Amino acid sequence: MISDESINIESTIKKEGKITKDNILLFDKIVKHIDVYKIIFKYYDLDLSKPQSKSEISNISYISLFHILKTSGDYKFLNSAFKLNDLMLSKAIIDESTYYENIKELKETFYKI
Amino acid sequence: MVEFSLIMKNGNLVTDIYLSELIRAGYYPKTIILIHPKTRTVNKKYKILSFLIGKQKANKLFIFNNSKKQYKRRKAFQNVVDVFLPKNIFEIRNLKMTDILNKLNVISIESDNFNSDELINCIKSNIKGVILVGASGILKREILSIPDVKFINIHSGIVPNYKGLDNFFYSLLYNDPLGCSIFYIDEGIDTGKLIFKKKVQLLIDKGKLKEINHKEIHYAIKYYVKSYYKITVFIEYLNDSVKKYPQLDLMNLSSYSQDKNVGRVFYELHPEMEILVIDKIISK
Repeated sequence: MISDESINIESTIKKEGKITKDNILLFDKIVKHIDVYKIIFKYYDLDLSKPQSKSEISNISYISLFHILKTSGDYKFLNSAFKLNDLMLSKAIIDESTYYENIKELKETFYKI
Repeated sequence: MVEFSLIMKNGNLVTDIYLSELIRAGYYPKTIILIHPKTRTVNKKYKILSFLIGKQKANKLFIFNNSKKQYKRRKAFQNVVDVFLPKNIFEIRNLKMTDILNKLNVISIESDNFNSDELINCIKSNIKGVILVGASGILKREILSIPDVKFINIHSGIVPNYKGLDNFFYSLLYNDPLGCSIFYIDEGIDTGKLIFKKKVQLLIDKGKLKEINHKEIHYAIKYYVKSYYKITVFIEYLNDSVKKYPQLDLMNLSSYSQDKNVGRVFYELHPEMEILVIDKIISK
């Protein structure tokens, strides 16, 4: 199923590290999978629309993505960060106290934008 | 006379406001397709009623009850909506959908979404021309390719920059003008051929807003105010166009393709963000 025509989301998140003018479209496509489908798979086609694998990205990748979105300074990504926080709690990637701490931090970030 | 049809979901605020405003402005849909959710048929009360008095009478009773509930809910929101809208939309029109619908050509169907076979077949057999839709979600190829039919959407954002959901709020967040766009629907997310777009201004009495909780304000803007602005822009467009072209044909309006690579698609706001947005509006 995985081909040369696939994008590895885990390595993309690791490589990009933060959202910039150059990769904003890439992250726009990645967050669609949080906002709409509530799951991110490891591999997608080049357009980042169709999954190319059945396995989900790792917990560490979800957490990394959360931090990237939180520090983006962009309202749309901040909205996705709130949803990703919910997702991480539902998947037991984070505990309840971290969940509420994240909400507090996201709210503070909102007022700084 | 401008000819168009309307698809409404029973009890849906967006299309209820559309219809009441259109009628007030003198634009009567030729046909209305009223969609009831299929889940109604598994409702116990409905089952008993339809057994006792027949399906047709049970349908009418169910529309009436639903409408009564909606009406009560709307009245409860009146003070919140009044903060934003230039006049009291409830007193002017006394939104009783059953009264309005009884006077129009209404076809009732059961369907769970806008891409169902039930709706597609109903359109094929009953409608030619333009259909105005609201709160429809993405329309798929099958429904969009029905011959002699075009769908028009009124979107609460200035395209191509603002596509998707909650654009009223995102525009406020990014300090961009609020606005509405009218376009023929295609398979993309708000990417159809653009007919008209116009900026609008949110009228706010901040003093009054401080007395209302953020959730209520958000709800009022999202469902009432936004729908009112959208249909008002559409009516303004119709009024201006009819002056120039008395035999306005909605199937062949002047329109142009959008640059699909421009702008962003936004998604529904998280409940925490809904409150933060309102906080920002009030504190501005």
